[in-house]
Amino acid sequence: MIIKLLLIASALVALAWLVRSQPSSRRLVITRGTALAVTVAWIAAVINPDIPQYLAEAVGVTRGTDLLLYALVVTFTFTAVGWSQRVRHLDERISELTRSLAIANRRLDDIESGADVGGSRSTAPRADVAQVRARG
Amino acid sequence: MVSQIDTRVADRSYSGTVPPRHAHDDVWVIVPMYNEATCIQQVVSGLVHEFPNVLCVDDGSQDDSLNLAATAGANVLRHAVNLGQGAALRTGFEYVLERTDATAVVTFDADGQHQVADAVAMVAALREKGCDVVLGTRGSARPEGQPEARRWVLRAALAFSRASSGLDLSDTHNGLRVLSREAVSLLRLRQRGMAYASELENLVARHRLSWIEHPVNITYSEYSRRKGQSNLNALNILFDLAFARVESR
Repeated sequence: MIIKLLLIASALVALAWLVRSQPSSRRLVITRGTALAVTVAWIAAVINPDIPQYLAEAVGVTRGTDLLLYALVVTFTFTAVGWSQRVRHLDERISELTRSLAIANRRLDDIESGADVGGSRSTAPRADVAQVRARG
Repeated sequence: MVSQIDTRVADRSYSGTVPPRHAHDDVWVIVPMYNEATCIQQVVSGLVHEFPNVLCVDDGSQDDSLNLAATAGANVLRHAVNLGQGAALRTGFEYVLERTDATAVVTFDADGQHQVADAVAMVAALREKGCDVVLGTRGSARPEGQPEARRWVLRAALAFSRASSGLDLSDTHNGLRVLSREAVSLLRLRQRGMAYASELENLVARHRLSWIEHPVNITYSEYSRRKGQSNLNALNILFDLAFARVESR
């Protein structure tokens, strides 16, 4: 049955998207294209309720409502995968931001207190102190 | 001008009981902490006697950990939001690489389960052997007060770590380590949570860093047991690692 192929293929694609971390522009096109196609199909199905039934029979599903259910499951899966990836990328960015903020704040504190970190550091921090003093 | 600033830098870092020139001037101890107000002061006070450079990375604590650590003599960094122990360590690593001339870095848990004397011995071992990484090991003997369930989880974790990293380890996920500056610069941890410990071992193997193990004592206090990870978290760690492994291909 065609529907089995379609459903298994969609599950595999979802898995592939899940483990490939970088969303590509091709993926974006596919997502947007699908969203557009679903919207058009939705309106068409509302105008003519026979369309889902016709499509269902064409791919080997008994009822149009079953086909809609399958489509819903696939859409949900892809949405979940897409969001979990976005969240993961956001987490990474928040980590980077938090890290550089922590280090930058420390640097500010050091400059304000007129001393650098308690190590035997090098020229860079001393230049900072000198600069601040020169400006002040 | 320069000498003037030099004096002030020295005044600030060698205040209190720490002698002016110290054998561990070029060592930075990184203590990741999250809501550790109960004992962070004690931990830092113990450390600063031997190590003039202690860096506490506060991982967005809601309690007074940050001030307590600073009062006890630590340098402090603060994560604005809680990220996880792996992320806190990496922040410490990056700070040390960017802002100090440290030649070695010690990682030390904030809950008081490690002994300062062990850290000192491990730094000496790193210098003596000239290796990149010294990992603390609890050895095969069961530490006093270690719960039975924890023992089994650690055994499973050890078997997993040995298999995945290929290193002939005798312990894993022990928070006490000494790393050379070179090692720190290569260990770019991506795991934010507890899985970083396994990731670190894998990176040691991948970069072919020279490493040894050093026996350490662990104190299982009521506090550290309560504060520590639940045994179930081992499953989360496995999941994080499996995911990262598939993803990086």
